[in-house]
Amino acid sequence: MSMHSAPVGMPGLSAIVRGVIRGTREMPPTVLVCVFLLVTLVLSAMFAPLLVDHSPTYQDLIRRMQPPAWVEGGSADYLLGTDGLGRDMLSRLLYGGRISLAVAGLAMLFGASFGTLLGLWAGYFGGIVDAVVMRVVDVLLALPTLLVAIVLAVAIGPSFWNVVFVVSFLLWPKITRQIRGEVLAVKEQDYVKYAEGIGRSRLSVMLRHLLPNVTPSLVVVATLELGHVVLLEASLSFIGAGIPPPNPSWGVMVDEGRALLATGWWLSLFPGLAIMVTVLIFNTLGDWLRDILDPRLKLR
Amino acid sequence: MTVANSQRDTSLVGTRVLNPSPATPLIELDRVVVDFEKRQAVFQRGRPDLLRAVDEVSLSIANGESLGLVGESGSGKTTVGRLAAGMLAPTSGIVRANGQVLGQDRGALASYRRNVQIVFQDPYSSLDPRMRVGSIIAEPLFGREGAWSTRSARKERVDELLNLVGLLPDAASMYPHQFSGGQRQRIALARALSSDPRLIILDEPTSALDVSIRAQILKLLKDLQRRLNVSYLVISHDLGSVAYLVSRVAVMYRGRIVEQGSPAQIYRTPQHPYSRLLLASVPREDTSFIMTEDIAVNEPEAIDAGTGCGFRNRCNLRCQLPEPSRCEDTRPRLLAATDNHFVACHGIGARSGVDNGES
Amino acid sequence: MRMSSDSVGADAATPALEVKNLCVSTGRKRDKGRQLLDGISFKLMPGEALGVVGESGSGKSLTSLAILRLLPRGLSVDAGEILLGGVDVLAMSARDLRQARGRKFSMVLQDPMSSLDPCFQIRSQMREALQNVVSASGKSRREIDEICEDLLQRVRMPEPDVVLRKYPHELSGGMRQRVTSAIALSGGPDVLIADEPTTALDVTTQALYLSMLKQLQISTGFSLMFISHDLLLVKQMCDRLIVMYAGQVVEEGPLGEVLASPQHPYTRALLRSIPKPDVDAELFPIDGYPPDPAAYPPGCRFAPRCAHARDACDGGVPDAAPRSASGHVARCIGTADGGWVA
Repeated sequence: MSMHSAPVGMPGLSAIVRGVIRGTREMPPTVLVCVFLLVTLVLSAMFAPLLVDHSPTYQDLIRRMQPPAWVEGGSADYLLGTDGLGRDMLSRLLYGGRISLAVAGLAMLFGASFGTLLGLWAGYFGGIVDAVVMRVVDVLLALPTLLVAIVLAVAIGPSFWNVVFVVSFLLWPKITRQIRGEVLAVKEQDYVKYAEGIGRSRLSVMLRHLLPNVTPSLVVVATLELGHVVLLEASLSFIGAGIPPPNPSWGVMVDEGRALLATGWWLSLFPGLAIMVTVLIFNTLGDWLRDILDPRLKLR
Repeated sequence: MTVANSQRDTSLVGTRVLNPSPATPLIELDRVVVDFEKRQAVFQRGRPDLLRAVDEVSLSIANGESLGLVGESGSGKTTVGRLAAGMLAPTSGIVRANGQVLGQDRGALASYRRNVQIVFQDPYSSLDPRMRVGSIIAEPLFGREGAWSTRSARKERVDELLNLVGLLPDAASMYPHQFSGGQRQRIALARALSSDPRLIILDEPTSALDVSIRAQILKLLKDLQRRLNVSYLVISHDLGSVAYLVSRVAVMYRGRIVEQGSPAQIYRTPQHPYSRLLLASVPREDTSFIMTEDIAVNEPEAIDAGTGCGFRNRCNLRCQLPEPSRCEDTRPRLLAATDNHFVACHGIGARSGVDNGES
Repeated sequence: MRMSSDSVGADAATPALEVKNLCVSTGRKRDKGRQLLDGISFKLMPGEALGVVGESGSGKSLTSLAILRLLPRGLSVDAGEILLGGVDVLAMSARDLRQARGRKFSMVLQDPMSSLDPCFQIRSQMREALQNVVSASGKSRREIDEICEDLLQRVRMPEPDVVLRKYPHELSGGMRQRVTSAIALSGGPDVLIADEPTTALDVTTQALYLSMLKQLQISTGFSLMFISHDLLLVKQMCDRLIVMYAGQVVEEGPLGEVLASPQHPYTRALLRSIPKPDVDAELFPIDGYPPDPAAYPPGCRFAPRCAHARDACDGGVPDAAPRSASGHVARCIGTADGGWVA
């Protein structure tokens, strides 16, 4: 089937971008700050090697447990101090950010893609597929997330890709439920009936009409869930079922700092702050996106 | 094979797959019935209740002819429109296109759908908000071999169509939300015309539009009808719009056709009590309030017409019928009252002058 | 049931409702305040039915919302007075306003589906409405129910006792509209504002409802402000008429006079464009589209679509000049004395 217009995802993207640009003019200051912080976060994670001299894994036991530079005993060499094994906190923070954000991003990518396709299918085709999928979704959502994550992670072992898998496995049901709900509404619209009426295959209708129209809702829910995803990875790493050593992730760093909290407050504080700020950013952005995207794109 | 009709604008002749002979009607509904299942309570046992939306309706539209379906909510007119569009299959009865039965044959169904297009009532939900107008209009042409298989040919066609409906060519790259309701209906119309259909089903084409825009759209529709010699099936409760576009009108009530005739016959001498009620209810310039209660009573509960007349619970006209119970148990058939004017009512001829609408 | 009109007083010359120079805008800094209603003025005398005709964007619904002080957030009244029986509604305290609503003025809106709460029986909703307007102290439930039945009978509802026990979704659109009308009239208001009450109804239901409303209006004597896009409906229901376009009143006057000799080109075009339910009728559409509030033309707002427009029309919005002794005014320099339009 030849589509003489842009590929499927594109109209959705350009409309979202337009919507965001329109909303930018009315951005409340908190959101502006969040966007700025997010950009900083992502850039610093991407360009971590350029920003820090020290390796995140190089151990220098002589310089262990150095406090941050502005505290007595600290040095400008190690801006945020060093941890129990003499590794530079700042570089661990930045590299850890890389890993935490990468896990979040990948997990979101896989989980949302799978969840969306499943949601589209279940919502549009209905019938037994819908019934089965939704029951599975119901069960998965009823289970306590962290518990399941732990069990899974422990069972399959700690590794970067395993963590991505576990997190995306826990993410997809939420997406599916949301998308399926949207699809149920959108498929009743006249333009969908028209497309069906002129003889388009259901698959074609699903991809050409339903997918772009549920995209805004997807963007909102994905942004909101990013916060959860980051937290989930951090929690897993915190208990040791996530990213294996010596790679830093924020959760790992918080865990390492736990034992030494009395003497090294900076060990857990900075990664903890990083997690908190990141989650806050995503939540705020998600809320704002929901406010500006949904009514606007549903506007006549 | 193309049918080059000298009356038509030949620049728009596409590849007409169907070649109707003058005698075969374009579309024919033969005693079709459509039943919908009523939603069942969770623990209800047995088969769900059926709602009969269309109750043995027969009609036909000849090539170049236009038919109006008039009725209110619950009359089944929208369902008939969907049937004619091939969007649903009848529970029983036959739908024929050019003499061929529309069954499950996908090929026939597909080519039928290209020859029969539909314009919906709501200009806001009938266009995909995520598609550009150009893509929307060209959608019926996708995947088609022949005249419109290349991108440039389609683009040309889109420009042609935009011009035809009175929109500027740069509309093709814009999105629906940038247009007003009236303009959106034009876009929907351009879309319907793109595959060069023989029949366009217009489902309440102007009801959602502003009063001053309605006349514009109606005029456009009339214009296109003449230029392209296309047939219309106009479904509406608005008698004025319908009369303007069609040569025959069928009045529907609760899934049945109760009267059928030319617009002049229906509007000047309506015979069926429901038609009379409808016409009396429409505010007219020349008359003031008519006490419609003299004709029929208030909206009652929906009754299952069963084997009797569907209007019997509301009918207030005094009929001197020899057997008053005929309305209860015998469904009135569409019989000719005068030349080509059919009415389904037991009381025809059995009413005194005043009750018959004569002043 | 209707209380004596002590609010209006014995002076029949006081309008039941008078709107003076009402201006409503969006008032948002960035938009520099879009003027949505511009100098709306009209009078509604006691016992009279006034029709308000206009299309989307004309501001007719906004006018009713402004009168009821139900403007959506972001819109504000910049100027003007709204006098209900001589008392300025805009200056009322919240408490007085609550008292006035239902008792002095009331409304029936377009969508009967959303006017009633689907969770409660009709009976409970009517009772709740009555609490506000009729002092319920000392009245038993049965007595209140009787009052409700009575109200439903006034709006010619068949089998009121059965209807009371039903839920809104069990009733048809026409019946729901009767219920909302009964509720609106329960307090015996002097003014009833009906904003497109029949747009969502079938035409036969509409006819029955309107004939009920008209008869009720005549027998009870309340003033009716009937808003519609349908000129013909307004013709059936009203004694006087105002025509709105792009946020302004472009013509006002006695119904018969306005329809027989309309003094504004828009009114004329509107009358001509109505499709007649008869064969061989020509259609005369109005070209163009109503203007965007963000970009009103400098002068007469109808000029871009007007067949008689001249350069002078862009010079400024014409005043509502009187055309006859009976209060017929129109905003058009072309049709005024010495103008170029016949």
